[in-house]
Order: sequence, then structure tokens, then C-alpha cells
Amino acid sequence: MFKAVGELNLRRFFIQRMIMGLLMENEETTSANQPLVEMRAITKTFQNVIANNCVDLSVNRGEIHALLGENGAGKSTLMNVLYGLYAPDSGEIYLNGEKIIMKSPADAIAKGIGMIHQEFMLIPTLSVIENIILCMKSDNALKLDLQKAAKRLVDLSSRFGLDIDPWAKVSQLSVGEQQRVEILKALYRGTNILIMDEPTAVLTPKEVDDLFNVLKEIVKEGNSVIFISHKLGEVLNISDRITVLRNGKKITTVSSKDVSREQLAKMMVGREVFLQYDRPAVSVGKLVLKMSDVCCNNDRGLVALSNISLEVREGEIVGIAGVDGNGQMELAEVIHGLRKVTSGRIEINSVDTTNCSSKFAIEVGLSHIPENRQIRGLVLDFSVAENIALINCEKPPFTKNGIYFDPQNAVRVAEKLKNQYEIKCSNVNSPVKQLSGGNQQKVVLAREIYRQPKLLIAAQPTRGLDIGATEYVQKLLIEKRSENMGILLISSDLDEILAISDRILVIYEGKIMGEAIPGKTSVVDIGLLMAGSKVSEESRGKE
Amino acid sequence: MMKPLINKKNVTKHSHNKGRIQAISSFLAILMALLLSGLTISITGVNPFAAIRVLFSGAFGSSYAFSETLLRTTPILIASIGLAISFRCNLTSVGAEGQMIIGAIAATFTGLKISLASPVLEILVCIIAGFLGGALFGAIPGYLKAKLGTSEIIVTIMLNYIAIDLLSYLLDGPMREGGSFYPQSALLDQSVWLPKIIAGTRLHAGFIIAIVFDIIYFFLMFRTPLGFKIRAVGFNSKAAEYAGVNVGRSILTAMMLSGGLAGIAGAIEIFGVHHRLLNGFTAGVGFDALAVALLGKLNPVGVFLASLFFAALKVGSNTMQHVMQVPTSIVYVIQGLLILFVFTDTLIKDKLLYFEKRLKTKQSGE
Amino acid sequence: MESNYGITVQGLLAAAVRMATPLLLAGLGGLFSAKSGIVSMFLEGFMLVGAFMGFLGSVLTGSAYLGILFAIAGGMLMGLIMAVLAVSGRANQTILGVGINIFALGITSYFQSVLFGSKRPTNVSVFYDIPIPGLSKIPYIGAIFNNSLFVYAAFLLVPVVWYVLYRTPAGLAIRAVGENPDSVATLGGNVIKIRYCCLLIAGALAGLGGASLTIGQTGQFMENISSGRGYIALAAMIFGRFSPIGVLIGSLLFGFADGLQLRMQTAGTAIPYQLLSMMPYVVTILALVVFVKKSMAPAAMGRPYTKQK
Repeated sequence: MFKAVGELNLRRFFIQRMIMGLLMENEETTSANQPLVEMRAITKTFQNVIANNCVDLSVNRGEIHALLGENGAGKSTLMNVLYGLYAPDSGEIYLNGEKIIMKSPADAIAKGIGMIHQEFMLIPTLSVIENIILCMKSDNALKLDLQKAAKRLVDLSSRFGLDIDPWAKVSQLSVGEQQRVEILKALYRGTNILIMDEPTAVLTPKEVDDLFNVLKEIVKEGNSVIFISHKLGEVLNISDRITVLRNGKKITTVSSKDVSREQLAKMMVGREVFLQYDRPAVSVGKLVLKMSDVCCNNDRGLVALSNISLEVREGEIVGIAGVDGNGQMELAEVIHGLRKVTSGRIEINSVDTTNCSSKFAIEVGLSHIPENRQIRGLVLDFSVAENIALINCEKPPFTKNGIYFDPQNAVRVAEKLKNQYEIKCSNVNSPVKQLSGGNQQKVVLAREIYRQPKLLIAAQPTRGLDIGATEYVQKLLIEKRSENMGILLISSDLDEILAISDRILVIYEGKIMGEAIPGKTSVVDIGLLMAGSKVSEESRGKE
Repeated sequence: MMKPLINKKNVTKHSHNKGRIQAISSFLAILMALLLSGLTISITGVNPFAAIRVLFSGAFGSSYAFSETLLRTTPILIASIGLAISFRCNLTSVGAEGQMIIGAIAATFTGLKISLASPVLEILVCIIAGFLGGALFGAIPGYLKAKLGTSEIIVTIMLNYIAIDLLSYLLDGPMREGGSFYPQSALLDQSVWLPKIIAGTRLHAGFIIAIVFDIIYFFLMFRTPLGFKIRAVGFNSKAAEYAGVNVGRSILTAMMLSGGLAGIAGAIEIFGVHHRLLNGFTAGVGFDALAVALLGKLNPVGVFLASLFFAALKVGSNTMQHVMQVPTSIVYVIQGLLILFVFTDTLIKDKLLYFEKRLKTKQSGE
Repeated sequence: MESNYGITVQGLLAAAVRMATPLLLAGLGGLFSAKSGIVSMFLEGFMLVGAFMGFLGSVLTGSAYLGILFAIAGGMLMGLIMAVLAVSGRANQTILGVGINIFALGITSYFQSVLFGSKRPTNVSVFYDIPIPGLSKIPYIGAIFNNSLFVYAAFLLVPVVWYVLYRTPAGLAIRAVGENPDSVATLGGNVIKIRYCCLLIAGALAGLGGASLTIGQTGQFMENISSGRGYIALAAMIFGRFSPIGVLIGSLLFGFADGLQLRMQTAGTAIPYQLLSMMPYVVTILALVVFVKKSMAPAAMGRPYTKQK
């Protein structure tokens, strides 16, 4: 009988524990039932584009919530609504269960919502501390107390592990440090909902790890982070839950534990996406580009390129990998004659083009898809046809006898290219600023490739393009490679570099850190090179 | 990469509406300017409607008046074409006054010194001298802008004052007509005077020359590679540089053409109207040309119409002063107001889009 | 007034200080609008209006002090017009500035003719020189301390403007708006309001600068009395790298050139007076060419700001 009672007690004990466990779970879900932020049925239209179509989003306390989608899906728009920059056409926002209406970011900041945009909103000529207290309500309108603020900043930064010198001028900080300033700016104002728009785009792999550690510290204190990204790996790594947007609509919200990369990719794009290409074997031909010990300075007079030596041959795609801001822009510019070298030699098609003019480089056989198409590559106020004629406008087919420039010639060429490249525009006489980003890039591509260059520089060719356009561009580059074009691909998108390059050169602080072969060199090693570290002898590729 | 849309400009939805919107905004600008000027006139006790009527009859009321208006149109048109060229290159030149003066000095000097068999050839050489004088004067701000990025506005304005002083000095001394009390040059030989094209009026062949230049302007800007490059540089010099255009050379060329045309305007004023160099012969044409180039939206037809309008203002305002004692400085008031109102393009576009949106939401019954 | 003939160091210094005053006032005003990102092309027009309004006010009320209020009001009205067109209207600021200058020339000349054309007012109340006791007796530089309130006010404003721009929260916001208005907007600042205020301040100061030409000196208004000084003030600002001290130095430099050529004219040299009167303009061009290598202008200057909602 004693044994029977013991068994009964044991069973009761276990049942009790089970019930208590269930009760505790319920308690958690009740408090988790009250999300910190809820956006319901948000719709926002710009002219005739529906950027957000009845989107719901809920973010819990202490959570890192990722907003995933490709370019143009509506992620930034949704967050700009949450931050009070845009007023939604319809829908509501709830904070702690209470409905809030925000007329400007000032309201959002007052409610504890902070946003760090993709392009940093810092003032380079001012110091860190001045940037941080900018536009904050001050006790004394007649005096700017920077000392007191700096002290508070230092306390805050040590709490979260974000080291920063309050008195440094922002223009002298690295990109990673600037991001820290942005985060501190938000935390200083008492943000407990931190929105970050594509924060890892400008960071090295190590800086990404540091950032994730900081974010984990931030949410430990009960704050929430909304993390906008299109990078599947990171999103799975750092976030608790993921909301996927596509074409302005919300597709689903899942826990990051319950979903795979492939599933996410499919939700993001709506179809199977491979972005893997067949690269037919092409025998490499003669030199189209040779750079020997090239050095140059950037606009601020600091060294941008340091003894760069590289070669590109016909029929190969050489990828320059690296985080933005390590000299890629200057590299394209010196080859094109848009920037003077301080030493070294450049040869295009075996012709010395060191410090030549832009025109000369073009005549020797260079084509260049510039990194910033709207500023460098296109005259937005010109029509599509005029942009096609922009290069070599004084030569046939645009000007037949050297004096008379017949616009119809440009129109004819543009029509042909419009069909060939499937450029979507009402007609070739419409101003190019009306075209979408992808179609604008197609205009640039068409113009550059139409000249049948021997050497093509493609700088960030798929930046800002959606998946369809990205695929198109990458396939086109591979096609041209088969036609014996030598391509120098400069991209901060490592996936892109890995997908289409024959060889990879990693650039860091203006130096080539090493060469890698896609498939042979590990991504980790490439990441190390990108961050400036040397790699072990074994895994180093040729040269 | 999606940037926050905070600074995206509103885009013209329909490209074929752009010309229409520009014309509408120019007319609205004229209307507003006349309205406010009328207000100014009425404050001083003068009946604005009567004043405007006198203005128009003074400009167009008789065939002589009309010929005077066309006469005044000539230098304004040529100078404003020059300014239009520099504006198309995104250069805000205010230097037409000074360039006219230097051109006139060069042309008159040439005319007084040389003597060729054919008068037509002589006139041609003098006009070329005027072009060169103005072009070299325009090369100064052009070169400084191209090489150093110096503000062409400040340089051209300073050069205006310098040119005025230079002219005064020359007419006081080196170029003064022998034995005369007045600061003026010797009279040009009648053989180089520009022939009159309507008997009984002062209207001279310069008017035809001005029209010809207007046509040349169209061809230069839209049918030559040079014009194409100038426009490309004006819209986006970074893209033009990338495309192989020599931006510095385009800037210098634009400023020299601009100065040269103003120089021709100055030369024609001397050779067609005054027949000798005098102080103040420009009569503010340089500033008229500025307003005209803007009002005419840099368009060959627009610039012609605007020049006509301004010439009418000038001629009519003289009559207005005689008859109604309205000071001629009212012309500067109108000019200034025109410039202020002429950029109502964006405002009109915004308002049109706004009304369009309101209409659409009303129609869909939201 | 100066009673020195001939060219002396003392006379030149005193003249430099006096001729610099209108440039300095206008330049400091232009600094506010420039720092907030507006191209200050309008200084010439603002000065003309201030000159006329100061003159008008003094004639109407009989008091030069009230004339100052008129000048400030006139300048601020012009500032408001510029703000509406440039900030709200988002039109090309440079051309708007030129338009304002032409308009100001027209309207001041017009009312000058209409109101005072036939009979020039005499005995207009002006600001007389007030010698500062003690300081005005110092040899060589003493004459500097024997000037009108305009001069003293202009120079005292330099540290005041510096403090406002660099040591107050408002000044920080102004400087930020001129570099990157979007940053300020995302922090909840009101870019439009800040630019409007800066233009009003610019109008007040430039108007004051113009008044210094009429009620600060001869007590007469003539057509186009500013004669390009507004543009020279703009050049001083650019030359001075958009800082209050720089504006001070630039104004003194150009004021010196102006003073020198006037003295040389009255002293009677062999150089024709026209070539002398060219001097300030030539000096301005040379200063811009020789000393201005890279533009230190606020990064967002000239770009119209669009708020997206």
C-alpha cells in the first residue's frame, strides 16, 4: 500500500508539474500576446506604384525581427511609415496596444522608435557628439553643452560595447564606426525599437559579427530590433522571426528556426531562384588590361590605391571583391581616365593609357558600366536615344560628316537596342529618368556593349536591381565572356562575384590582398582577405 | 538599394506636356509680373490700365513705333541667344553688358582704323572683331570656371563694372574724338554704317542678322555634336566627362560663344544706331537679355518672342514716362518679377498633379 | 567724418573699416542663409532695399533710429519673398537671387523717382560718428574708433554670429541643414522653418548693411547705390570659407581696396579715375582666383529640399 501511495504521489507530482508548466507557457504567451509594435493593414502608394499593400507586421519585446524581401519589395517604405517619415494611405500602428499617429520622425522618436537608414544620415563635417545631440530638445537654448553630452555618450557606449570617440570628426571615421554612431544616436534618444535598413551592406564579415553581438546586447535589455535585409544567411543567423515581403505584400511571418534558406528564397522571389550559371569553358586570349603598381589618391587627397597590379584577358571575368569604399570606385576611374594616377602604368589593349583622357580610353576599346548610373552613366534629362548617343556623338552613326548631328540616327540605333535588350520604355524619345532602375541599367549596358569593347568594366552592375534584372545582367556578362570580351567585375556582392567570376582579386584599403578561385578558395578565406587579414599559405590561390 | 524617397523630385509624367507647361508658366509669369507692376504703378496714383495702354501704343501703335520696337529687339535677341548658350551649359553668366561693351570697343576701333574696298567686307571684319572682343572677354570667366571652378556669376558681374569703367576711360582719352567736349569716339565712316531696311525708320540690317543668329542657335544646339556636348555638360557634367566629353573645353567654348554673341550685339548697336562709341549705349540690354533668355526658356522661338516683348517694354516705357510720368525703372521691376515668377514650372506641375489626384479620388468615389 | 587728405596709413585703416562695414553686415547675413544651404546671390538686392527703406524711414519719421527699423523690415520682407520662392517654391536659387536683385533695383529706383525725384530731401537724419573715449586717441588706429554705430555694430556682430552658429543648438541645426537636410528631417527637425528663419535673418542684416550706405553716411539715396557691393559681400563670404572670421577678413580686404582707390582719386594721381574705380572689382576677381582653391561651401547648398509625404 505504501508503494501504491508513493506511485500515486509521484504521478500527481508529475501531473502537477505538467500543469504548472502549461500554465507558465500560457503566461509567457499572454505577455507575448501583447506585441510591442503592431502595424495593421498598412497601405502606401506613390503616384501609381503600390509600395505597401495592406501589410501587417507585429514585433515582440526583446526580439530581433527581420524584414526580408528583394529590392523594391516595400521593406524600406514600411519602416519609413513606422518611423513617421511617410503617412500611410490607410492602416494603423499600435504601440503597446495603444494606437499612435505620427506626423513626423519627431513623434516617432518621442515614442521610442529610432531608424538607421541605409545611407547614413550623419554630417561629416561635424563631430560625433554634435551629430548625436543634433535636434534634441535642449535645456538651454543659448548654450550647447557638449561636455555633459559627451560624458553621457561614453557611459552609453560602454554599456553596449560600442567604442567611440565623441570628439572625432565623422568624416574621419570608418564606415563601421559611422554605423556605431548611428546606433548610439538612436540609443541616446531612448530608442527601444531600433529599425536598421540593410545594415550589413557596407561591413566586412568581422564587422557584421560585431554588429550582431551589439544587437544581441540591445535586445537583452528588452528592446526590439527590426532588421531590413535581402541577405538570407544573415537573416537566418541573427533574427528570431522573419517577415517576408514581395511586391508590396506580406507573404508570411515565420520563426527563423522553422524555415530553410531555400524556402525563404522561394517566398522572397515567388519562384525557384538559382543564380547559378553554366560557365562554358573559354580559352583565355590576349591581354586587354594590364595595371602595374598603380597608385592614386581619392578626392580628399588620401591614398586610395596602393601598388595595384592586375591583368585581365580576353574571355575571362575577373572579379574584384571587397566591401564598398576600399578603392573600387577609384580603380574604375583610373582605368577610364577619370582620375590621375600618382604612379604606375595602365595599358588597355597593349596601348599605354596611363593618365589618358576619358575619350582616349574609350577609343582604345574601353567600355564602362559605372557604379552610379544616375550620376555617372546617364544624363537623366536626356531621352533614351540621346543617352545612347552620349558616347561618340561626333562619330558615325550619330554624326555622319562630322558637323551635322541628326537625332534620327540616334533614334534608329536606340530602337534597335530597345528591342535587343528588351528595354521597357514608352518610346526612345522619353526622358530616361522615367525608366525604372533596371531599365536604366539596360540603357547603359546597351550603349556600352554596342561598341563591341575589348575591355568592359562592370562596377556594381546589379546594385538596386530586382532579381529578374539581376539575372539578366549576370547572364549577359557571361555571354559576352564567351564572345571573348575581357570583363573586370567590381562588386560588393560576394555572391555575385562567386557566381560569375573566373578569378577573384580581393581589394582592401586600396591593395590587392590576394587572389581566389571560386569553388577552390573557401568563402571564409575570401572574407578574411576582404577584412584585411592575410590567409594561410595553403588556401591561397595562384599569385 | 532603396534610398529614402525624401529627396526624389517629382517627375514629368508626360514628356509632350513639358513644352506646354513651359509656355503656360511663361505666360503666367508675364501675367503676374504685369499685375504686380500695375499695382506698383497704381500705388503712385497713376491709372495702371491707362499706363499699360500707353505702353502698348508706344510700342506698337504706329509703324514707326513698331520699327522702334524691332530696332530694340535686335541687340536684346542676339545677346540673349548668347546667354541661352551659356545657360544650356549650366553657366549663369550675367556678363552680357560687359561683353557688349568690349565687343563694341573692338568693332569700333577696327572700323575706325581699317579701310577696305568693299563696305560689306569692312562691316563683316568689324563684326568679327566685335565677336572676338566679346569672346575673349567671355573667355575670362569661362577659363576660370573650367580650370578653377570660380563662380562665373561673380566674375562676370565684376567684369561688367570693369568694362563700363574701361569704356569711360577710353572715351575720355585714347579713343576720344579729336577736339570734342563730349566723351565719344570719332564718327564711323558712312560706308560701314549698317544699311537701313525700312526707309524712314532707324531699323537696320542688324535685325536680319539677329534672326539669322536665332536660326543658327537652333542648329548649333540641336544639330551639331558641339551643341549636344554643351547640353550634356549642362545637364550632367559628370556623365559627360565619363562619356569622353572634354568638360573644360565645352565650358570655355560656351562662354566664348556667349561673349562673342554679346560682342556682336554691341558692335551692331554701334554700327547700326549710334555710329560712334558712347558711354551707356548698352542701355541695360545685358540685363534685358538675362530675363529674356529665362522667360524664353532658352528656346529659339521663345527667346525671339521674349525679346520682342522686352523691346516693346523698353520703347513703350519711354512713351509712358513722357505721357504719364511713370519712371522707366518700372521696366526693371517687371524684369525682376518675371525672373522671380518664371520658374513656376515645378509649382504648376505640382498643382496639376495634385488636382489630377484629387479628381481621380473623387471619381473613384473614395 | 574723415578729415584726412592724402594717403596715410591712418587714413587707409579708417577707410578700410568704414568701407568694409556694409560688406561685413551683408556678408554676415548671407552667412546665415548660406550655412543653411541657400545660395546667397540676393545680397545686392537686399542691400538696395535696406538702403532705400532706411533712407525712407529716416525721411518719414525724422529719426535715423526708426530708419533702421524700416531697413530691417524691408530686408526681412525681401527675405520672406526669397524664402517662399526658393524654399517652398524650390526654384533655382541662383537665378532667383539675380531676379531679386534686378527687381530690387527697379523698385527702389522707381520709388526714388516717384517720391523724391523732383525734390531731394535735405537734412536727413543720419548716424553720426561717435568717438569712443580713450580709444579714439590712439595714434594710427585711433580713427577706427571714431565711427558710426553701424561700424561698431558690424564688427561686434562678428563674435555674436560666431557664437550663435557654433555654440547654440539652433546654430548646430542650421549648420546641419546646410550639409544634409535629410539628416535633420529624419531627426524630427523642421528644415523649412530653419531655412525661412535664416533668410529672415539674412534679410535683416543685409538690409542693415544697405542702410549703412544711406543713413550711415551721406543721408542720400541714389539709384543703384550699392553698385555691386552685395556681390562683393558674397565674394567675401566665399573667400572667407563661409566662416564669420573669414567674412571679416574678406570684407576688410575689399573695403581696403575701395578705400585706397577713393583716396588715390582725391589725392590726385596721374592714374585716370576710371582705372582706379575698377580696383575693388579687379581685387575681388583676383582674390577668388588666387585664394579659393576648393569650395568650402555647405554640402547641400543650392539643392532645393523636397519633403516626401
